[in-house]
Amino acid sequence: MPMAYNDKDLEKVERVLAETHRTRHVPLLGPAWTQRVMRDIRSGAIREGNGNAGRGVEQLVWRTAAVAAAVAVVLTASIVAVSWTGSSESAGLLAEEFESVSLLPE
Amino acid sequence: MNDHDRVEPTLVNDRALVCLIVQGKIELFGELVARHQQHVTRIVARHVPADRIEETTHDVFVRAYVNLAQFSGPSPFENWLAGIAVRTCYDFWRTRKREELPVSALTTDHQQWMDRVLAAQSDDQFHEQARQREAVEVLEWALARLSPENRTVLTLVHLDGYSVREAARLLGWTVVNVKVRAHRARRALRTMLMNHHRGNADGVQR
Repeated sequence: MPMAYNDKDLEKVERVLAETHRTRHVPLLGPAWTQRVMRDIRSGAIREGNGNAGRGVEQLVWRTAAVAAAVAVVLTASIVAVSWTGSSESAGLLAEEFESVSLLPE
Repeated sequence: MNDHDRVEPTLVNDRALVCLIVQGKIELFGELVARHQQHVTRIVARHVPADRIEETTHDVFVRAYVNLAQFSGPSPFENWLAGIAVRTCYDFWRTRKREELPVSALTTDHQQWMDRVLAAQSDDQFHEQARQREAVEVLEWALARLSPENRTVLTLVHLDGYSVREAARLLGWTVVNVKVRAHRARRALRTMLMNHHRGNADGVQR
């Protein structure tokens, strides 16, 4: 059974590993690579442009939907108010009718 | 485009270039790529396998372009870009299952290499061991056994030598999170080396 590493041993191995890490090979990326990056950025920008147009339509749809919903709420409220007034008027008229006509002989 | 609109990219600083690109002069991004390509490649080369450096560096610049409007504040563009590079590398490991990048097990050659490291007395011997194939293999073997979070933090703090605060800034994490992970990752690395030394690298806490 080998002897266990002590902290000093581990630090030594860690230091060598850190140096190995820092001296990793860094490749040179040529003009073809740069052209690929720029090509993808241009195509991404075009997609983004189309996306913006799509987002514009989407915003318009949502704004229209919000206005339509507001109009619907106002219409519903006015119909309810009118019908409530109408029904209370009808009830009033009916009550007046009963008030004015006596079924019993005087 | 008239003469007044033409920009000589090499005469413009990074911040001004970013403004022009955000305003729609996309082609000027090529100048930023040219200026910072080596810096970004150096960061990426320390985090991902050699055969993924090109692709990951490409992703860093595309991601930088997409988020360019967010670049602000007093720190240099280079620092902002370094953060994107580190986070792209972290995402590289997060999105890959460990089985996709198999790492061969360590052999007696690696054990002998570690013995030579411990026996090294002079700086020359020390540097010589750092250049050995076994050094790279032991490093890859150990890093592959860490979670993406611990791997990234260990690489930044213990191998690259960034301060905890700087690593936290690059990753966009809290200082406490990085400090805790740095401690855990180092302890995991040491446990792996110890277990391997004992001839049993299984059951290591990741």
